[in-house]
Amino acid sequence: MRLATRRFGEIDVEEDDLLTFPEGLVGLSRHKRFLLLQDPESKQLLWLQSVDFPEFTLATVPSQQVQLNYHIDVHPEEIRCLKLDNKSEAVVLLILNRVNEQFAVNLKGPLLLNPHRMLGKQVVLNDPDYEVRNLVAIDATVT
Amino acid sequence: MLVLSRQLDESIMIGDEIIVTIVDIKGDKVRIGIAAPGDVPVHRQEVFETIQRETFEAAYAESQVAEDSGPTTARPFNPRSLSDLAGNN
Repeated sequence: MRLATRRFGEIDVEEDDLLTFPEGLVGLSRHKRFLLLQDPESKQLLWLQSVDFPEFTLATVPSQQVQLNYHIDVHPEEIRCLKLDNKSEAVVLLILNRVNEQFAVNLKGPLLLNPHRMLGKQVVLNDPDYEVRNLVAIDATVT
Repeated sequence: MLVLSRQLDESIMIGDEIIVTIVDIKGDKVRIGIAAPGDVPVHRQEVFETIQRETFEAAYAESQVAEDSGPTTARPFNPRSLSDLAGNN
């Protein structure tokens, strides 16, 4: 299929490339189908492009590139829809945002993926140390 | 909105499975216990709304992380390569 996007124009997509968030994003329950794209310039940057909303694109970074001691404490039942055989299989992406001239990641609402089944879910962490805008140093070669 | 009066240790059932209990009352602060199936997410309203707003803003922000550079050769990325990475550590 051919996918229209605001940011990347039209993209050829295989069904296997599609990521499904069965419950949608937190508070955005209609946002269920996405495509994960590698930024052409920055290897750290992955774009989560909505399939159904061409204007909706999230910049994300894998959590292991940002914070070493990031601990995701969620009840197994809460992430049942990911169908993980083992929690350690999960891939964690953090939504990136720009705050003035700095980058911030959302540690409060990470995206969990089951890369083997191409399923995803956004969770909300109760840990008071995690904010929706945690400033981070990212070696962004993007301009 | 349905409004019900409850005393300490009394509960409300929502559907068959969700039980909301008044656990403690001190001045203007009420502690509430919620027993719900694990797949029912329970959030403080303000946290839920903050996450929703942040995601929305990040997705539509004019000054996104990178400037729009027009059609590029962005390629689908397979997240399996990230879990392989994690497995090697």
